[in-house]
Amino acid sequence: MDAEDTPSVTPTPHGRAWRLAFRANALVSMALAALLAVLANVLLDLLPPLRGNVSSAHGYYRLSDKTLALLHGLEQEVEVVSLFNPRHDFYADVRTLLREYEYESRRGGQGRLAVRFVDPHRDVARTREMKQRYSLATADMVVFDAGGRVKYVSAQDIVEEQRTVDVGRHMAGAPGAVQTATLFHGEQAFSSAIQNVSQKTRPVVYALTGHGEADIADYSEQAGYGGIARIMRRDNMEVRPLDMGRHGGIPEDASVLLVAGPTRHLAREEVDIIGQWLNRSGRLFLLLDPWTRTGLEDLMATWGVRLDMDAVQDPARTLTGRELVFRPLPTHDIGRPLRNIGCIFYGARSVEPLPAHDALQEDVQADKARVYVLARTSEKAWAERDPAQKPPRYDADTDRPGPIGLAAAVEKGPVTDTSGDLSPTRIVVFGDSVFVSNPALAVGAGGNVDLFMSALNWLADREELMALAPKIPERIELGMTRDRMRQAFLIVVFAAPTLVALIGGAVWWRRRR
Amino acid sequence: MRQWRGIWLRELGACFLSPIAYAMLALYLLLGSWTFWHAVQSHVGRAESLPSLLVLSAALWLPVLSALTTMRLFAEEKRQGTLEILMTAPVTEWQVVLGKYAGALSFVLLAMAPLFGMFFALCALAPAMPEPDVGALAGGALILALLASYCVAVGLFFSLLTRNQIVAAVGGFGGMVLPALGGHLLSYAPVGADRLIRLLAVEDHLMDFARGALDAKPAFLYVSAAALLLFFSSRALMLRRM
Repeated sequence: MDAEDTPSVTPTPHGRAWRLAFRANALVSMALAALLAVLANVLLDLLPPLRGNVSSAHGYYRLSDKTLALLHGLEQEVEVVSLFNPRHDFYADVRTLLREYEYESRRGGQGRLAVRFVDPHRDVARTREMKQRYSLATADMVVFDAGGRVKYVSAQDIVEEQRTVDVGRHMAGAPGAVQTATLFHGEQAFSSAIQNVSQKTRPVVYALTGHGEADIADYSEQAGYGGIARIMRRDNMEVRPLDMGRHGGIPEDASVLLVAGPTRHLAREEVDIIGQWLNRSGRLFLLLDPWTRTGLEDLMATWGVRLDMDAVQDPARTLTGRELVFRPLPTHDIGRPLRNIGCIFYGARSVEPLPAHDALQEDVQADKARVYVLARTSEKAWAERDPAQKPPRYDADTDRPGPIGLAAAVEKGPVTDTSGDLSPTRIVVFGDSVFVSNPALAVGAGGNVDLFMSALNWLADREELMALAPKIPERIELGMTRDRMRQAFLIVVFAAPTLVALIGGAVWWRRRR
Repeated sequence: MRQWRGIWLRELGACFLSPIAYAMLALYLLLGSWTFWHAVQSHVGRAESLPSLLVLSAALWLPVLSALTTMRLFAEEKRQGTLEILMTAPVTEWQVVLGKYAGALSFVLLAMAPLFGMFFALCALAPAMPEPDVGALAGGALILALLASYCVAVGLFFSLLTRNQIVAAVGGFGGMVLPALGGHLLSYAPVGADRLIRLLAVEDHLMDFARGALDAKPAFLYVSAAALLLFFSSRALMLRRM
C-alpha cells in the first residue's frame, strides 16, 4: 500500500485496537484463502484428470478402442520419457497424444502410465542422464520403460511423408501432379511400444556358434556382434548363444535362429536339424558373406533362395569401391518403415529368388515359399564370380549382370493342418554379415541397425503389434497468388486496427466538440 | 447486484469513451494480427494447427493489453481522489472490485474478438487452407478467456496497491508473466518438480486447448488464481476503508 494514501473516510468506531484486530483478521483471511487455493489445486492435481476433446477434426487425438483396452488392462508401471525438441513440427502432436495416453491409463483406475517431458535442448543435464540410462544417440525420441524392458520410438517411426504422383498430369507438366501428404502414426507407434514392453514373454534369439560365426559376447572394435546383441536386448529380446551339439538341436523356446557370418561348413546333421525346424514354422535369420560356402546353400534353394559363390560389385552405388550403398525396397514389411534410409553393406554376395518362388511373379504356387527381394543393386552392378580377379571387372561370359539382389525374405504359409492354423515359416537372408558388426556400428553406418532390427522383428512376429490407422494432421497451406497474398496481408493485419483507430478518432472528435 | 452491474457498465462505457482505449485496442490488434500473419507464413507447408497459431499470437500480447487496461482502474481513482467518493456510496468492497473487474475483463475479451474474425478472413482468402477446426478454435477461445481472467485480476490487484499508473502497469505485467517465467526457470532446476512445471506451463495449456484438448486442471488454476486475487483486492480495499 502507498504510505501517502489518503486517510480513510470510514469512521473507526472502536479505536486503534479494533483497527489492528480488523487488519489482522484481513491478513489472516488472505493467507487462509491463499492456502485454500493452493490446496485445492494440489488436490485436483492428485485426482484422476478430467479432460475432454472438442476438436471437430474427426477425433485427431481420440484414442482407438484397441489402445483404450491396452491402457485399461496394463498390469505394470510404464514410464514414458519424451525427448522431443519443442521446435519439432510434431512436438505438440506427440505431447497431446501422450497426455491422452496418461489420462486414459489413469481414468481406467490403474494409473499405470506416467509421462515425463524433457526438452533435449534446454534441459541438458536431464537429457544427458536419459541418454546414458537408455544408451540413446539422438534426440526426438520417446522412450517406453516397463521395469527395465525398454522400447524406443523415434520421429521417423511416427511421421510419414507420402508422395503421390498423377502420372498423366506429370507428363503434361500440369501443376499439382505431385501431391504430398503427411501421415501421423503416433498412436500405432506408441501403442505398439507399450504392448511390446508390457509383454511378459520375450522372444528368444539363439545365435549359432561353432562355425566361425560372429560372437554375440564380443564387444571388441575389430569384430563381433556384441553391439548389435546389446541393441537386441534393449529392444526387449533375449539373446543366447547356441551350440547345437551341446543342446542336441534347436531349443523349444527359440523364436529366431540367428546364423551370423559362418566361415566354416555346417555339418550335414546340423543343416538337417535346421531344415526340420524350418518345416515346423521355424524362423531363421541368415547373414552370409562373399566366397563362403556354409552348407546351407542347398537348404536355401529348397526355400526358393539362390545363393551363388560370388561377390557383388556396384560402381554406381559405392563410396570407395568396396562397399554397397542401397535403400531397402518398400515392397515388403521389413523395408517399408525404412523409407529414404540409406544402408551400407561392406561387400556382399548375391541373394536372389528362384523364378518359381519370386513373390513378384503372379504364378507362384500357394504351397511354395514366396521370396521377396529386400534390397537390390543398380543396373550397373554385377555378381563377380572370379575371386582371383583384381581389380574385379565385369566378364559377360561368367559374371551375372545387375541388378543383383542383396537380401531376401522368405515366407511360407500360414499352413492349416489337422491340428489347426500354424504360423508361417519365415527366413531372412542377407548377403553381408559385417554390416551390423561392432566396427560397422562404431562408424554409425546409416540405417543398418534399423534394417537388421526390422528384419528381426518381422521374424519374431513383432513388426506390427498394433495395427492402427494413421491420422492426417492439419497442414498450413495458403495456395495464394502474389496479389492475393498482398490483399490478404492488408486485410488480416490492418483491417481491424484501422477500423478501431477510425472509431477512436470519431469518438475523440465528438468529445472534443 | 444492481450496484455491481452499474459499476461494470460504467467501467466498460468509460473504456469506449476514451480515445486512449481505442489507441490501445488498435495497437493490440495490430500486434496480434501481425504476429499471427508471420506465424502462418513461417509454418506454410508444415503440419501445424492454425487455431494454436492464433491463440499463441493473441496470448503473446495479452499481458500488455491487460496491464494497460487495468492500470487505471484504482490508481487513477486514487490519484483523482474519486475512490473515497465511490466508497461512500452504498456499495460493498466486493461489488466495487467485481464491477471494475468485470468491466476491464469485458473490454479485454472484446479486444481479442476481432482476431478470431481475422482467422476466418484468412481461411476465406486462402483457397488451399483446410476447413477451420471450429471445436479447436472454441477451445482456444476458452483458454484465452481463462488467461485473460487471470491477467485482469493481477492488473486490478496491482492497480489497487498504488496511485501511480505506470507502477501499476509494470507491477501488473510482472505479476502476469512471472508464473510462466517461473515455470520455465524451474524446469532448469535440478529438482523433480514436474507437476509444478506442468501446472505453470502456460504455452502448453494454450496449445492443448487450441487443439481441442480441454483439461480441468489448468482451467481451475486460472479461475482459482483470479478468484484469489479478487479476494485479495476486496480485502485490500476493506483495509483502505479503515
